[in-house]
Amino acid sequence: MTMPQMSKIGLSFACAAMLAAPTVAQTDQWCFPASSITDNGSITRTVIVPPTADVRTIVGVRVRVAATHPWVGDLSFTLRHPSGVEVVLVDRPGIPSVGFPGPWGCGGDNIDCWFADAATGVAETTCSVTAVPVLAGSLRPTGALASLKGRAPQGTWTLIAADAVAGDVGQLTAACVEITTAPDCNLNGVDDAVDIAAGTSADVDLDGVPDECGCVADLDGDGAVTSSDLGVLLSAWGTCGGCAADLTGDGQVLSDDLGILLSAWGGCGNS
Amino acid sequence: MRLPLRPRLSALARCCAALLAALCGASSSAVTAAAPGGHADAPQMSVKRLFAPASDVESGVLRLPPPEATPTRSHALVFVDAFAPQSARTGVVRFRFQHGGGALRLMPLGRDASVWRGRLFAGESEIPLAGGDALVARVTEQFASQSAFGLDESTRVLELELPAGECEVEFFAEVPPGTAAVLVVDAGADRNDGPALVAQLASRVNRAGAGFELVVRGESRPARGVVPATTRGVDVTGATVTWSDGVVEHARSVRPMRDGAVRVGFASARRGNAVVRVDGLVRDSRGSQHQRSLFYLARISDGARIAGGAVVHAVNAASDWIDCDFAVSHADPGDALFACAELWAVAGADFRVLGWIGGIATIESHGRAPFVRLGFDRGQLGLGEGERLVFRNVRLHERDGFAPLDVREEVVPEMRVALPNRREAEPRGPLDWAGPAGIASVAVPEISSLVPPVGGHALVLSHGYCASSNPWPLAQFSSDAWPYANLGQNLSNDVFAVDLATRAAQFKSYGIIGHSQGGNAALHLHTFYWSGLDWAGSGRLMQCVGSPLEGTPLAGNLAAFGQALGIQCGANFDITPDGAAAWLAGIPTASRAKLFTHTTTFTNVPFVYDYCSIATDFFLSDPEDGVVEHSSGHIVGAQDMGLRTGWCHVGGMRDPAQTGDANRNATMNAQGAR
Repeated sequence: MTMPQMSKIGLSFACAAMLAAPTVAQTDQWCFPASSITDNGSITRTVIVPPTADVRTIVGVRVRVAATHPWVGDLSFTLRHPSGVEVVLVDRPGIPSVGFPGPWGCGGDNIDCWFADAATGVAETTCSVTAVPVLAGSLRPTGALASLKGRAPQGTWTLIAADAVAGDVGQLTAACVEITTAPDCNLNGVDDAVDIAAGTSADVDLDGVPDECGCVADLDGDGAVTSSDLGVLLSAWGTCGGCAADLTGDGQVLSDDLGILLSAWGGCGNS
Repeated sequence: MRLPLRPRLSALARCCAALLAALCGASSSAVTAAAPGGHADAPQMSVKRLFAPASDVESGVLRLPPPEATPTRSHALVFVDAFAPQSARTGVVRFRFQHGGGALRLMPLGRDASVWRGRLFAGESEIPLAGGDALVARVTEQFASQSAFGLDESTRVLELELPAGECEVEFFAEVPPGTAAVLVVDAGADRNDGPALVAQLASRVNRAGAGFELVVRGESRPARGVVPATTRGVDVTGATVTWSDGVVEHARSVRPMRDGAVRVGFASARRGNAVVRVDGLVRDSRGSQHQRSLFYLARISDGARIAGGAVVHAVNAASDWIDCDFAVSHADPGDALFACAELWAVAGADFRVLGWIGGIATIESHGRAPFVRLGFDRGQLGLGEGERLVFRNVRLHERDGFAPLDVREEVVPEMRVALPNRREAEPRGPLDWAGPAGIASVAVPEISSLVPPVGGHALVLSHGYCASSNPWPLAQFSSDAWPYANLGQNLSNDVFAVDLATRAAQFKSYGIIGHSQGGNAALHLHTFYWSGLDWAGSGRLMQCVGSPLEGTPLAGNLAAFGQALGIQCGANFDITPDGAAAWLAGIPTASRAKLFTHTTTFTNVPFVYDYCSIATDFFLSDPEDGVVEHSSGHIVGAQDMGLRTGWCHVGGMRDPAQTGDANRNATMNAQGAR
């Protein structure tokens, strides 16, 4: 099929096919356990996001943090991706201060907010003497959660909560990371549908999957997924930085990569 | 923290600081605090942009009262002179005055005044006034301890009965020639009925170069008494002004008015504090003439004026904050002042008050004519059908001292933003300043290096004006109490408040218990600046004892004696009745409501004594604590915690120091916010 021959219906069909495919974007929420926050110290809480059957990439992240604390200017929260990449959600709001709210940062009580890049309010500078919780609603984090886009969702996520000043104590009452993922069979960190729509990837059979994905597990490039590809994968077992056998893109060659290879056993689909 | 010692005051200075430091004492140490300025490289402190509801305007709380509301009265005659050589070792000083008859009290002030020998000539009589312990028949002599004011010398008060006529008092002392001597003469048998000399400024705004006038009259009873005062005629016999650099100028005009008052005019080429002395003869109800002298501390300012224009505009499309830029002239960008305006909705002949905005602000220019920016939140007011916004009673005050710089009855703004419809406006808390748009900064003195951060939440115990030590007994407070100390200083409320906040910045949050001017400073801080006070938890945010919130009549005398005798602390306009009135006219009810005010007075022992300090009793109306009159220690809108008897302003007075009241301290400690 050539593009000029694509009909309006065909386009509609193509879109419908993409939306109907089992690999559309999906949002999942993963919550960290509640905990007291060590006074003048820090805590780390983790949650494991399991691998998915298909290869997916992060296309959006929001984080909810709810904490009780009589002086939120003492607190900072950081989200760590399984790859080790960290995003500072908020770092002692109100500090540095030019006068308001003062040298000790925002003295308001409690946090119950979503950190989201798209928010208009900035968590770092939001402060009020009257609002409780003082950080509420949707707030823009100090770091960009967008820096996690294109990374694999699975693995151990970590939330680091720190209290910088002795005296006032608080509790992490709820914290969740909301991860929106989309298929990324070609491991380029971009939603497959975006790749196809942008022309970065071809989708001749209109199955919503980039044509090159058929060969993702063809590690030796011979046009088929066979025992030789299995051998390549097994030889790379364990931690590997950017190696071809890391089919999930999480920096490690593990059972989830093996699963993908085995599911593609045989021919290379669209090739 | 160890502070640099200041050179020891001379004995004379220490003696007379007894009066001059009556708002708390002499000094042995000091910290240099730069005057507040407004320049970019100076440290910044965030100011609050104030909004007060219409009720604050309607009640008059935020109106600048007319000058006649804050007169200064004097029942005394005061002489200032110096000892002339009499022999190789002794000096002599003589004072002559006309006595109207009846009781007479004499109080000499000066070095070793308690042991000056003297004599009084009244008509044909000569009455010895021995020094030391030698009491004389017909004369009651009381030693007035000045230890209350941090001094180790005392003075004495001589009381006697004399017929009307010419009197002359001579004092001899072994002092170097030129040593200053002051004699205070209280020549009214019953001061509450005795004639007084009364003065007030003719205008609240007094600018350098424009001249200023005092309206002087006689009065037969203090205005604060139950019975209304009766105005009496007065013959002004002398009027001078002494500037802070010691230059003395005579009045340039004395104009009798039809109502018996006299307008005394002065040239005022200078700016700053001006101590005016007026001498006059006042007639009592029997027609007898009494000599009186009065000291008036006026503040002559020079600075920004209201140019007349204003622009109202939104900060940006996303903000609810609306800026009001008032054009000013005679102003330097970067300088800070206090500005305020009433907001009125006008439709034809109809008008209604919407609210009031104010705050300490920096003069800005940004390449155009200088202006001062105030503002409000869109939700704080709305206009009705056909209504437009106008500003009324627009005022500018000095930041340091709060002397009014200019007042404009009405300013019609250029509107660059539509205000919400009256029905759509969503009323919000009157003093919720949250949000970056409502926050601006001004420069403050650089003294923050004095305070290492410790965190936590504290109850700050503040002393007052010119204190020699912190008067609060720490043992009566819990361990989170922290004594503020910047001793021996003469600070305006603004500088005091900024200093307090800067030193207390070592704590995350705090409440304040303020003694004397420390209470004024706390209220000033909470009203005009963001500080740890705003983050304090529940409880009483500010508590004060013996605070001259409406000023003290002592202020003018303190300034005058300070100039005469070289006392260090000197004139403080903020604690004059005029200065306090100007200051209070910028403090909304919502701030006042966070202040809990306590006053005290002496135990009245009939026929024994009815004062806290016989020295300051000359200048105060009962009930008083030796420094602050009860009526000046409470203000409209604050929480009046009442008057307690048996306690005086500081130690060494008739009753114990009010800061030592363990019962009250326990309550204040328990109730105080941290």
